[in-house]
Amino acid sequence: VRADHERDYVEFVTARLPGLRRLAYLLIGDGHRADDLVQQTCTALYVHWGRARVADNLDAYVRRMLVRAFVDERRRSWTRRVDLDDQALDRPAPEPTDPAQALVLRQALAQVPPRQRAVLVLRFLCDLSVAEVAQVLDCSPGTVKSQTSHGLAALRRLLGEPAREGTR
Amino acid sequence: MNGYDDREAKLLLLPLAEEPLPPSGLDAATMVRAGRRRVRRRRLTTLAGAGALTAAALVAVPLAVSALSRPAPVTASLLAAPSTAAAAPRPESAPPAPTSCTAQRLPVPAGVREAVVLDGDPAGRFHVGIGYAAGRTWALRWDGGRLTVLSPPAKDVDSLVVNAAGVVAGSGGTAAWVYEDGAYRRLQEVPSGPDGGIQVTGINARGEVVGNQGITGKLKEGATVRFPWRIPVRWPAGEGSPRALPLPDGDLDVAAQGIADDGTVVGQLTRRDEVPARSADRAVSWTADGDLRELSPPRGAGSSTGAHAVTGDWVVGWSEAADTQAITRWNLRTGAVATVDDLAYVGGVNRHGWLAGFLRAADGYETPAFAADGKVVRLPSVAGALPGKEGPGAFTLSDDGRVLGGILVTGADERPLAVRWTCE
Repeated sequence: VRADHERDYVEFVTARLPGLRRLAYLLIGDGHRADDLVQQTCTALYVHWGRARVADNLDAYVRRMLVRAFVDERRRSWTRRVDLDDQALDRPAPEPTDPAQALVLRQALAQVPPRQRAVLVLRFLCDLSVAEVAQVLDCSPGTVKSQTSHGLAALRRLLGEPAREGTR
Repeated sequence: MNGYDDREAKLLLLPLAEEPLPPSGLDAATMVRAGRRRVRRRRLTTLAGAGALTAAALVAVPLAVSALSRPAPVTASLLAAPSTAAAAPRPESAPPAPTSCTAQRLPVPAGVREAVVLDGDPAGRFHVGIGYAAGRTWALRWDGGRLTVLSPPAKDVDSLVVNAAGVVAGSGGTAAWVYEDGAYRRLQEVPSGPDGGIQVTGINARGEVVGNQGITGKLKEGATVRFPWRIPVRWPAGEGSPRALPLPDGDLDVAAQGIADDGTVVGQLTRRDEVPARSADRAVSWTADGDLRELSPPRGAGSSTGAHAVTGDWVVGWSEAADTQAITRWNLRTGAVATVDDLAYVGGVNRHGWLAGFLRAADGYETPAFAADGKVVRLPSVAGALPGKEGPGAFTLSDDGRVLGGILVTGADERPLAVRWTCE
């Protein structure tokens, strides 16, 4: 990677890191494993940077890399911590606004199957359209809709809410 | 009938959107190091013949070996400019462009195997760069070629800029900072930015700094979670508070890339559209008062534009036409815009509109060079440097064109060496 390209990479990753960490954290629900997924994604991005940097929509490209690495069972190498330096953790853990509510929800979401979980996170927390989610997951819009439906039903069940039939 | 309601689903998941992220040791420098190791490993694998990744990777081996016997260029030569596409009225104050240069390898701390120059000041006295070795980075400043190793309040550094007073702004790891009069001060984030990482991209003679801050939470009242995003920020000289640069409404990606001495900031703005093909980059400038305007694209090359450096009236960046990118130069005072084909890449511009970058030969080898008044000057190599395809280049040149900074490469893995050229 050429030095000036590397500078572009650093700039991109610095700006996107918080967003990528948030996406990974929403998908996985565990800070350390989420960071592993982000690092795996960004390392792969570095290796392919020459091609990636001219992508039409780099954000979408990187988001797709991260989500696909998450849902692809065969490539779950992010479950191991790799290459992470012993950085000083000089930021204290911030207090969530309602820790109990967020924790219960996070634990429930973590039990929803990965693809359905990815659909819920992308659609309702990242505000992606059905078409965009379909592109990220390389499936049809119809599949996204059915995965959304199944995912929400599973989440509500895990949260102990009554099932809802066809509310629109 | 989907069996669910979008608004209700959003409300159900909302507590997660508001949840703060746990602390992390991840930063861009960590990823760069991991990425470099990965790239090296791939190269080593190919050299050992353990895996035929692609035909291209295999033919790269004999090229790297033959590079050892290629004579390195040792003297500057003057070429007639192939084009006057970017010819602009030459300011009366412009001195004659230098024609002959010598190269000096800049000193680095013991143990540093790779170093790059990232910026230089318009007077040609200071350069800043990064040294890499064994999993750590050094922030380096050279004064007339003499080294000072900085000790910023962040363990890693990935971006550095310097002005003519030797004031350095840097970012990386968990902090962005300014080094002035032997002391460091942290650059504060704008208050609306949770989880923000700052990348500095420019400093001017007055000591004003620009950069970009990542944003993940709500930026505006009533807005939903924006994802991923950043905003351009200006820090005044001294202890003043940072100010986000004004932005139009909409779903945007914006980056400030440099600041002129009069406070003009340049960068690029992308309006996001549901249809990717309708998203386009636009080169933009903000006046010192914050007025935002688009820089006109060159005729016939306006599908996308971006600006990446400014000095005085001159802005350098790129524009696209029919899937090819062209180096593009704007004059903020006259409004002139033209593509430049003197060089294959441009990293820096000076107050006369002269450009520092590199030439690329038909065989892919790159030679640092600058273009001044339609003439191209190739920059010489140093002892130990080898021809390279991924790295050699000049990235900054002084206003009189007599001092340039950049990199040359050495070794089969094309390790970068920090280099300063002086010309007359």
